[in-house]
Order: sequence, then structure tokens, then C-alpha cells
Amino acid sequence: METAEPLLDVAGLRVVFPGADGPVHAVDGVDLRLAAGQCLAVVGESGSGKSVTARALLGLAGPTATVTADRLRVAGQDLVNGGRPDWRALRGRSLGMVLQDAMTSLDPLRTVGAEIAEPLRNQWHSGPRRLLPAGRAVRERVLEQLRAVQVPEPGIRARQYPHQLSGGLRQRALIAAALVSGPPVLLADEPTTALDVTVQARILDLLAAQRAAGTAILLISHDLAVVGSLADRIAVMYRGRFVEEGPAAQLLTDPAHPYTRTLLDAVPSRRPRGARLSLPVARTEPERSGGCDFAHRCPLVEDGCRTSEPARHEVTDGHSALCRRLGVPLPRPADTAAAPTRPVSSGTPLLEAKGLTKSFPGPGHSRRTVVRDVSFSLYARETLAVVGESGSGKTTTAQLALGLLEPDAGWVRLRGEPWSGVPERTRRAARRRLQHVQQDPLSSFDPRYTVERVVAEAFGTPDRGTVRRQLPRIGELLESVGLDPALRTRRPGELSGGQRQRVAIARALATDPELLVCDEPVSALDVSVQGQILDLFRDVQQRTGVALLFISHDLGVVGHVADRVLVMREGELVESGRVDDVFGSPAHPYTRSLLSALPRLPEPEPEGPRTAPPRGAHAR
Amino acid sequence: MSGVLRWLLRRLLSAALVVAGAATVAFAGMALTPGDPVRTLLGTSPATPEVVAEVRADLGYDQPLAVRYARFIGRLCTGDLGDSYQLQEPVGQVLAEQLGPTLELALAGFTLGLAGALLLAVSTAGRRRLPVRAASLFELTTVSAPGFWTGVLLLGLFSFQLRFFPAAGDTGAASLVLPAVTMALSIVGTFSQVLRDAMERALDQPFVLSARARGTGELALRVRHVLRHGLLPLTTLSGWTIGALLSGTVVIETVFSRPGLGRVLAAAITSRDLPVVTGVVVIAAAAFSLLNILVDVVYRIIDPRLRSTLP
Repeated sequence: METAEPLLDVAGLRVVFPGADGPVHAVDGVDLRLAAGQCLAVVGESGSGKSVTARALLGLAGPTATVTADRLRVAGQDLVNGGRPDWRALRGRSLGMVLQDAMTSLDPLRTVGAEIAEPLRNQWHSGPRRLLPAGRAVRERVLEQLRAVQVPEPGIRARQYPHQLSGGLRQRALIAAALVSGPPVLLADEPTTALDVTVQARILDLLAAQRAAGTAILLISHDLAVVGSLADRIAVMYRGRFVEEGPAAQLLTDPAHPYTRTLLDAVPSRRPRGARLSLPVARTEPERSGGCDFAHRCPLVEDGCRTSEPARHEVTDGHSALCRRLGVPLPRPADTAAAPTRPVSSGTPLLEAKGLTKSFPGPGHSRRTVVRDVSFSLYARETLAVVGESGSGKTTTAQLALGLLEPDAGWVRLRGEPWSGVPERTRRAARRRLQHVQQDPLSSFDPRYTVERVVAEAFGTPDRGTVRRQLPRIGELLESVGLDPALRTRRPGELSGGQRQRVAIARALATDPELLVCDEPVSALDVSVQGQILDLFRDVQQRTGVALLFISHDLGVVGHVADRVLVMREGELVESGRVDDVFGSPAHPYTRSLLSALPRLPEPEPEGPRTAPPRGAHAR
Repeated sequence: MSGVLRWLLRRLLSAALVVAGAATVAFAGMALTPGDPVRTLLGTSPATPEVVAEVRADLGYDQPLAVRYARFIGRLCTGDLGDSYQLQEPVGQVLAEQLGPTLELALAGFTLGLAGALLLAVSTAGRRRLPVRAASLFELTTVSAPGFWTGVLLLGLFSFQLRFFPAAGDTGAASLVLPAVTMALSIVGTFSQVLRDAMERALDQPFVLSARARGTGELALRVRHVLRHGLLPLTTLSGWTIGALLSGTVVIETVFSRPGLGRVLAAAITSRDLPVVTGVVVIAAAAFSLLNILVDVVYRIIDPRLRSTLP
């Protein structure tokens, strides 16, 4: 406060991990400054080094990491030239940290109050000049902090355990634990990623209030929309470097670096419905050369990019990018079908559900009704989305549709034939007509199987004989989802998230299904990979005419891919209709609250004509 | 709260069933063992057929199997385990006398072993290589060393050479030290390995990063957070181990010439004193069942997530 010195002042931060093929430069020369009441957001895909950057500021990059910096000053303390830094005194008191997913970031065996009190207790152990605060004072401080993060009934909540709290309250408790010692800087690493959209909006409001009260926030996120609502400045991180940095509004409306531009182009809510989100994919990662790290994915790549390191260029004052091709127009993904063909919603529905109700045993002898009186029909070639927050019954609805659960009441028909309430033996022959794509393919694959055996599972027995007989078909399937058939001998653990989801889709397509039930198929993916997978779904649908039942919590994604949408809340269908109608003029207050809670990116500034054909390659 | 009581009642009932089952198996074993129990009882002393018949009627061996079983279970329900053939005393009384020293030994050995394991695991979990290697070496040695050998070694050193502790008998606390240490050494390695493994898994969890980011020191981190997570698998192991220790005192009681259930059992088996064997089986089954209930209660104390989900 007394000086204009920034609270965080970092220059040339480098973090190196030992790797099997030589050292890995996770953070490769990062500069950042952050003053009181400001918010700097670091965005990037997974593995870009954004979390490691935050952890390095706390001395928590890990035991194998080598951290160096030209300048590293935190809240006035010089951590480079000042002997061995006293990290423990710094943690919690100068820098508070909030991690993603409070379910695993709070100790499940300790009460919320004990977790929040921990920084206070740590202080009396390490602060000899302080008087030990009495237990009562600690308790008072904990309750005060819980009130400050707007937790209702703090006295009760402090005595509860993390599993007894909702996701939003847990995240508030985690924020309270980070703020209880009054650190001037808050590091928030994906603070809203696992949360429902309405809860996310409230947590973002809370962080905004903290910033307004003078806390400096370093926000780390993969979600550009989340970042846009909170940050003053945004740094885009790619392979350990800030490839672009600038004022939030300017960077989001007028991005300079090709990576930022492809990222923003991949955000579904910013593009017309049905438009392509990604450029053609390079199937293999090229060798790392001496030039720009982004060259192999860059649509604007030229020979010079591959041989010489890019320099930092100022775009405008305070907005810079690490690229030699600034100002060159970026090709937009070619829209082969400008107006997607409208499916015909008439005749016999492919799948019809009427009055579906399902309950599960709850505590004691009660029953919890998870799905109540849900009816819908799904026609061939159509994408029907089910949106809702966690616990709304989306997944149960999907499992009822798949015939994996029997409804307590109501029925499901497949092409007019009874699908629910019939013995499994009758259903089995038709099972191949419906396939399932799950959120986390890694846990839906046998980790010991190779890709070819995972796909061969769809033909019945995943033994080597099946693989041998079906080898050409497996190769064809992998090609059709944009995978190099050479990947067929890999195991799921060796693939990237996007590649795994492609394998899951290849497996689902193996039986030429009429319907794919996709349960949050892109929720675990980075935005650029998400764009590729959404494009893939569209390509597959146009090629094969498969219908999609698309479960998602992400309204941006749903608005982009779906023809019709069902909005669910606490097991009930509150609204349904064509996406344009429902999202354009929502009738139900719940739909309106969902839509208003959705963080939105500013509209891009109109650029010159984007007609240049795609060059080079994009994405993993 | 009534839910907890109902749960406890149900567990106790099922424990009673387990004990009854164990008693039945023991009875069946007794009935199926070749040889005449009456002859065993009379030993080598010459007996007229009249005497044999009299003893047989006395013990009820002239009755059909079903009647004998019914009587056996009936007596068991009143706590009567029958009379020992060898000692001519009620089995209940014999075992009651011997249970004390055995419990004392088992508890002392277990507590010592647990304390050692806690110390080893907390000081080495997630630490640098060298201390972990040293601890692992110690653990491997103790796990591999059989109890009778460790016992003899300790006896040789501390009783015969240094004369710190008495070599035999049960004469107060000093005589408990070596047997308890022997027993502790047999469990400390396994306990410490299980505990460290679970603690290291907990150390990889995000909440540990959270705690470190709050300025929690490494020792406080282990004691406040990680240790409780490590105690979960250790509790499972403990329930099994204490039960095994009760019956596994045979070797240690023999080596150190201590009184106790183990020695009584060993003697009863060699002399085919079947009522005593049955009695030990019933007591061991009861101990195992009660320990398992205790383990489940301890689980609920350690892990709050289990408290809200009573089966």
C-alpha cells in the first residue's frame, strides 16, 4: 500500500523438470507483475505450464523441479537475493492458493472449520513475535471469514465435513481457507472448473468482490469466458511461455497471436451454430525444432518460423505477442455446409420416451426420485441435447434411454418397438444400434488393452482373433475419426485426451449405430481439442446420419451442436424445444438463470476477409 | 443415534452367530476325531468295562450325536464350556486364569509394534531416499525373522548376557518386556509398510498441496492430515493382527516359558483335551468377532464419510 511496488514482480521465471528424454522446460522465461486490486489471468491448454507457474511462486513446484528466476519478489520480499526463502512464512500469509475441485482439495477427514483455521494455527507456530491467539479467537476468525465468503450458517458449516457440503459451499470454504490470514495475493488455479454454471457465476462474483477489496488475483484457467469476466489483463500461455499478453478486453476482441486466435475461434458460443471450430488436424506431433514452438500447429506458419525463435512484438501499448506473423489474416475453418441441413422431425421417432420416472433408494427407507415424468422423442439425423446442472437427472435419463436402467414408470421405444420393460435377451440383438460415449474415456477403457482391442470390443469379444479378422475395419474406423491407424498398438495411457475421445467415438461407430448417446463427451477437454471433437461429431453425423443424444452442462456447447434441447432441473423437464427458441427466448425462469449465469466472451472485432485457405496444421 | 444402536445390535447378533458356528465346527471336529475320548480321559490306567461305561454315561457319550450337540450348545449358552479331561477343572475356569497373561502380552506387543510403526512411517513417508531405505531394510528383516528365533536372540542378549530382564516366567512388568518386544518385532514391519504406503498415497492428493500452500510444515502435514488417511488400512490390518496375536502367542509363550492361552492350547492339543481346544476356539471366535465390530467403529471415528452411511 505504501509504495506503488507490485505485489508480484517476476522476471525470467523458469521451471525445469527432469524427463526421460532430457530436461522438460515446463515454464520457460515468464515475466509477470501484479498490483493490489488487479487480476491477471493465465490461460492455456493442459500442460502449458500455467499451474506450475503458480506453484513455483509458492515454492511448491515439486521436489524434482529446478526453479530459477531473474527477479522474484512477492509482497515486497525478494526471494532470489535474500538467502534461502522462508516459504512457509510466505504461504498463506502473503500468497493464498485456491485449487480446483474442493472435494479433493479439502482434507475429507477434517472439518471445514479445522481446514480454515489451519493457516492461523501455522502462524503461531512459525511467528515467534506474535502472541498465540486463543482457541476462541481462532474460532471467531474462522466464522468471520466464512461469513465474508457468504457461507450461510457459518457456525454449522464450520463443524461439517467437506462431503456434507455442496460443491459451491466447498469452494467457498476453500477460498476462506486461502484468505483467512489476509494474504494480499490470491492464486486461484481453475477455481470454478468443476462447478455448475450458476454456482460458477457466484464464485466469480465472490472473487470479483475480493479484487475490489484490494486483493491481487492471479487467475489460472483454461476457460477464456471465465477469465474474461474477471481479469484486467490476460496472458496466454503455450509450452511454458506467455505467447501473448494484454488488457483483457483488447486481447479477447482483437487477439494478435495465431494461437490465441485459434483458441478463440474454437469457443462454440462465439461461432455460428454448426460452424467448424477447428482447422485440419496434424495427426502426429513433429520434432521440436529450433524455431517457434507453435509452428507445427500454426495456420500462418512460414519457413522462418521453423528456424528462428520468435521475438516479442508490441501490438499496442501494453499488449504484446511472441510472433513474427502478427497482422497476417488468419484463415477461418472452412464451413463446408454454411447452413446445416435441418433434420426432419416427423414420422416414427428413432427413440421415444414417455413419462420416464426413476428413483433410487435414499438414506433410511426413503427413495430419491432422480427422474420424474420425462418425455421426449428423438428423430434420425437429429441432435437432441439434455442440459442441466449436476444432480438434474441428465445421466440417469441417458441410461434409461440406453436401456441400462429400467424406468419405474413410463416407457422407451426404439423405432416404435418396446425398448424398456423387455427382457435383456430381446434387447441384446438391437444393442448395436445404440452406442455410448462417456466423459472420461480413460476410465471406460481397459488400461491394459491396446487401441485396436478397445475398438474390437465393439465387435463382441476383444480377443486377438477378432482384432486380426477386423483389422482393416479397425483401421478404417480410426481413419474416420481422424486418428493415425499407426496408433492402434498404443495403450490408452499413452494417448492425449483428445485422441482418447476419438478412440471412444471410433469404438461407438464400429457397429454402425443409429444413435450415439454422449454423456458430457467434451467436458474434460481443452477448448481447442473440444472444438475438434465437436467438429468430428458433426462430420460423423453428416456422413452416417447417426442421431445424437447429447448430455452436457455446457450451454455454449449445446447451443453450438444441438437441434433441439431439453432443460432438466431436479429430475424434471422444465423446458424443451428448438435450441434457437429456447436459448433465444427462454420461457422458464430456470433456463433464464442458466443463460444469464453463463460467462460470455465479447464479440470479436470484425476483421478483414478470412478467405485464405488453411495452411499447415492445427492442434494435436 | 438409534440408527447406531440398531447397527451395533445387529452386529452383535451376527457375532453371536459366528461364535455358534465356530463352536459347531469345533464340536464336529471333536466328534469326527478318531479315538475314544473316554479312553483318552482315563489315560493309561487300567479300567474295567464297568468303569468305562460309567464314565461314558457320565460324559453323555452314550447318547446320540444330536442330543450331545444340543446339550453342548445349551451349556455354551450358559457359558459352560465343560470340564477339562486332563486338569479335571471346568474349562471356563482354566481359560479365565490363562487369558489374563495372554491378553497382557498381546496388547503390550501390539501397542509397542503400533507405536514403532507410527514412528517409522511418520518419519519416513514421502521423505528422502536414504531414511526410507534404512527403514525398509529394518522392516524386511523383522518381517522375515521368525518369532522363535528373535525371541531366542533377545533372550540370549538381554537375559543371559546382560541380565537386564528375567528369562522365564511371569513375574511382573520386567518379565513382559522381552516377550512383548519379540511380538512387536513380528508386526512392526508389516504395519509400518502398510502405513507408509497409505500415507504416501495420501501425500499425492490435492488436499496436501492445499495444506502446504497454507504454510503447513512437513511434520504437521503428516500428523494433522496424512496420518489419519494412513490409519484406515492399518485399522483393517489391526483387527486381523490382534486376533492372530491372541492365538499366535503359542510360540512366544513357549520360548519365554510364560503362562497363557497359547501354552494351554498347545498342551491340550498334544494330550487331546478336546473340551479345552473347543473352549479356545470359541474364545478366539468371540475375540475376532468383537474386534471386527471394534474395527468398524474405529473406521467411523477416523472417516466421517462412513458415519452418514450406516449399512
